[in-house]
Amino acid sequence: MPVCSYLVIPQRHSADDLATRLTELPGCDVVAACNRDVLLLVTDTPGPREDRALRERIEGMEEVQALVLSFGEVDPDTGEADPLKERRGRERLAP
Amino acid sequence: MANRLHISTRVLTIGAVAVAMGVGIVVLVQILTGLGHGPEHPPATPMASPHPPIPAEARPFRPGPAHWEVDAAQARRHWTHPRNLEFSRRMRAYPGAPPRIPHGLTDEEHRLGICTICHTQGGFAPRFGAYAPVTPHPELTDCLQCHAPDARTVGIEPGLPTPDGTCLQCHVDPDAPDPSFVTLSWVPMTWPELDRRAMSESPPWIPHTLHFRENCVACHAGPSAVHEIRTTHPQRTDCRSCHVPTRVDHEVFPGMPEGAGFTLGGSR
Amino acid sequence: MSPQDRRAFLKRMAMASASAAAGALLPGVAFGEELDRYLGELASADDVTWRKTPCRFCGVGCGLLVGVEGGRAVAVRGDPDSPVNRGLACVKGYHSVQALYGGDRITHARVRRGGQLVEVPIEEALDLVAQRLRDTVEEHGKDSVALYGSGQWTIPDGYVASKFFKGGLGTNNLEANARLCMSSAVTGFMTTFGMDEPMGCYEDIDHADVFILWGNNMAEMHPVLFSRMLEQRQNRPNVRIIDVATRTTRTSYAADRSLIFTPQSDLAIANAICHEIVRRGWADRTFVDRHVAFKRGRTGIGYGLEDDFSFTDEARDVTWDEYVRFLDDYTPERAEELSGVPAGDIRWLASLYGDRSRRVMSFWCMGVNQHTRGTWMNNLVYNIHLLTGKISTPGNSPFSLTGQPSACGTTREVGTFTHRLPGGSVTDESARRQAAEIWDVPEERLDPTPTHHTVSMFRALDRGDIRFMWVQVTNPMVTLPHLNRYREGAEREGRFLVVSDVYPTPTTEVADVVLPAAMWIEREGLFGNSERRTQHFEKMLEPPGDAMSDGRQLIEVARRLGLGELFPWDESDEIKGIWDEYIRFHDTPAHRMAPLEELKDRPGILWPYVDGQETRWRYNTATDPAADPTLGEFDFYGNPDHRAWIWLRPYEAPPEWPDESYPFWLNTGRVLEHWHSGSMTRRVPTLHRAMPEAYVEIHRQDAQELGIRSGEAVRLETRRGSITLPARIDYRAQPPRGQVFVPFFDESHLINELTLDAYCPISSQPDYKKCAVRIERAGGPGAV
Repeated sequence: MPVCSYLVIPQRHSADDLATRLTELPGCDVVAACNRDVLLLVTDTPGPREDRALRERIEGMEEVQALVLSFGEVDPDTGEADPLKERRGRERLAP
Repeated sequence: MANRLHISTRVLTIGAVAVAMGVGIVVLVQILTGLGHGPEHPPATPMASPHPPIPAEARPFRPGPAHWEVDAAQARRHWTHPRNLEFSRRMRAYPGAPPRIPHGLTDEEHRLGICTICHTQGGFAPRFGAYAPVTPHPELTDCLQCHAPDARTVGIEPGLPTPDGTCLQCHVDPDAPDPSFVTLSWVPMTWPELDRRAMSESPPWIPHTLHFRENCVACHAGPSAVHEIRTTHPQRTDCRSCHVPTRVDHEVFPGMPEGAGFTLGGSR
Repeated sequence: MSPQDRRAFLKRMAMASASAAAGALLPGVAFGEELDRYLGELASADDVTWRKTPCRFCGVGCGLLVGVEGGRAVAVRGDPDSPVNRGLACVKGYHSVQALYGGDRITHARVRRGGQLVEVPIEEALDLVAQRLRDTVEEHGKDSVALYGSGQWTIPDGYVASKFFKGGLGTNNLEANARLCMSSAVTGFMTTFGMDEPMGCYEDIDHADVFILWGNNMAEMHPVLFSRMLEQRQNRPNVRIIDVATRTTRTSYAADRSLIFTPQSDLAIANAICHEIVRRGWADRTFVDRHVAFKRGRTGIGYGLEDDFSFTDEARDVTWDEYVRFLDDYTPERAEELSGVPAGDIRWLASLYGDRSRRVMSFWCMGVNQHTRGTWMNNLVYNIHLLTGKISTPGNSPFSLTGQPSACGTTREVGTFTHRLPGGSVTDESARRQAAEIWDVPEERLDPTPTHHTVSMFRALDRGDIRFMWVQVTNPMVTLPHLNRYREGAEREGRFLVVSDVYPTPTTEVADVVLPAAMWIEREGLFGNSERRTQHFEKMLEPPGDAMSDGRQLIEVARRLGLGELFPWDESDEIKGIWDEYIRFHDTPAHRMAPLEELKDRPGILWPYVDGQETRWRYNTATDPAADPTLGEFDFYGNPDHRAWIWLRPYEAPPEWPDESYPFWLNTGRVLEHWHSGSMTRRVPTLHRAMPEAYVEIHRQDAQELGIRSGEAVRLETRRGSITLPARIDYRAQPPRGQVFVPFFDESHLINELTLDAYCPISSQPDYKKCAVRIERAGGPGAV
């Protein structure tokens, strides 16, 4: 049951629309900045497959300029694979 | 799928975020403090202060003196006084309080407050059998304004042993009961939890404010560092490219507008 | 943690992480309440809330942030937003909150019964105080009762005190220990400028090139400002710090030069500096011609040692030429004879003041004020700045420092002195009329005649002219000079002493009623610091037991006396009610105060606060809204002629001088770790361990001649008493030969039993810095 968070940089003048669209997606919580065009997005999905699907869907939105992954965690209770682990294994990410 | 993520130009990875955050904070701090690496003005006459100006924000990115990188094993051989977290906390009334002076002062040191001789650069002090901790705020030179000695260890000449063979320069139990003192019912703020981080392998957060403590390596590197909080990678002096304060706001970065900023899981 | 809770927690963590990344990438980005709501519990896991307050201790008025958790203060930080200290505090400030939690805190009222103080319910104690107050007034008249407070009163407390005693009881028997601390500064300001308090502000430190400290050990007494000065010297190589003092202290060691003078001869040095400035043509004649008038006062003015002493000065107009002739007596060579400071050094000091390219700031505090010619010495420092026109502009600033957190805000601005009302002097009909109108009391009730200044008040208690005295937030049985006389006076039959305090002290020891006081952030209040900055603090903690604020205690007793209508506010909006009423007294461009709402939001505001603007430099027509720009660059509007006055103040000898029987000078003062009489700071472990006991500082050679070694017990004796305490040689500071120094914080070594109660006839402030003492080995090692 992955929980991830992202910074979402909207295309110009589309922050409000994007916030509305994201809020309507299942498992998505959105907080918009008061003074900049940036959104914070938290996604909560039942499993890695749904997590990937959701991310692809968001990436595909025309209002999205960039999606910056900030946090990812799998609930250990479920024993599922960490969606990030695979990537971590391949890339040397954080020092 | 991970591949697609990896090559997507629209998605930054965690590593990039960490670097970007670091750069962001560096830039942020430089903007906020308005300090760059300006030229150091040499004193015009012998009357000027003996202490050259130090641009505050240059410090975190300046590698420490060579002896800071003393191999820990070698350091321990001369090291009769390793510093640990328990001791370091005992010297402070609460998290963030200026620590008491845990050693004796000669009358001259007590009068003149010439602490900077040892505590600006650090190094081994044979008199105490210990490495001198390095101050994180060398720009503040009136040390005794905030750091108080124990009167029982003031005016004792170095190396003066007592009949039981110990040295009065330090070995007066700072917590020994004092009959002339009334009790105090004091409960300090909880000490910060060490090693809090966003994810199991990500860099730990900075659990304290950075005011007067911008120079991370002063406390977290070198032979005098408290061993529980010593960094494993002192060569990477750009600490804040990976480690972020649990709070980023005007208290941590004075000059940042009030109301701006964020908190990561509380300010402890 | 349930899976649901854990999940919720993870999501908040995820959100926090994203907000952190956003904050790092986009400096200044804000997410507002929406984010706070989302983080919910996560944010509240941080149980420590940080709230601003001015420090409880000295007059610098550092902004502190106090961390409060579970109803208790748990930590302190310097407030980075405070323009006073920019995040730095001193060792007292950092440990200040610990002083709230001493094990012997007074939490309940105590009443003396059969010689013992016994605990009683607070209502009973207040009833007793009210009854004794009423009975005393009925039997002996309104001027047989007195209230003695301090510069640690909050502004609202001081205001309630004034309204109660002056507006309610109609007596001018109201004084504060600030009389012992900075009344010479007040009379200095009043006689030179016609208005109290500094024209400049701490920001001057950032502009000045030369700092001259007159008898002012700032490294220990005003450490945060001292550090601000040291920082300037680090950053600007042309900055010089010069210490002009009677003993060598930490300030001297840190200064570029230290000039040590014989006590009292500062009068001669200051005049010699003026002599040199005039002779060399360094005086700014344009400034002087436009903005300065010259006055001669009375001389040979006495020392106030007699019970019936009184003095009134007179100002006679003199000319520039007469002033120059007056200065003829003060060649640097003549000043050298009196002071021991080489004439060349005096000339050098004059050259620093006289150099037009240097901005000069003078600092002083107790050395100049606790002086039998304290008013004169204040005048003389202003003379130097006025002669050179170095005043009221950034970095050109004669700056009188204070020792208590609200000496300015409360005692000076509210005016808790016998001769003052909030809007002016009791002798001034318009000030009485204003008070009668704002307080809604008959004008006849306001007595136009001042009664007793502090020393005179305690003499009246000794004689029996005063029978009832209420002491709040101060400890006179440690701090009065010639203490033995006044303690005996307080203990006499037929005297009733009420003491409001937070800890047992030598003053509560002689009290008939002890009332438990709420301390500092246990109540809402305001302090005013040395630079005209008013600072608000909210109530952060519940006071222990029955403790209540000093102001509330006064109101409770006033109500019992039928004066309740003077204090119509609910406890919940009391401070707001008091503030709104009080600031009506100052509603002119020369003194307007900020509204409470703004003070709550900001780290203090400088008055005059006019149209949302602080006034950083008064009397400067470019920066002071009360100054008249048609008069040129400056308008010293406090005086009727719109000029500042240069006074011809000569050197006069002190009343007591070392002689064969008492061959040493005795100087007293403070140390870094302890504040005032030590009743708070001695309960803080870090401070107590660093400075557990008073000592006598002796010059090494004097000690050798007397056979005294460091740590040995020494007996000190003056014409008024004797005490024994340990000697310290080359310790914290070094007196010159022929002088000893003893700090006064230690109630087990009461040095004020030895000091002389001579005072400045103009300010009535006693001189704690000079009297004659004999010292001898007491035998055996002292308790060190």
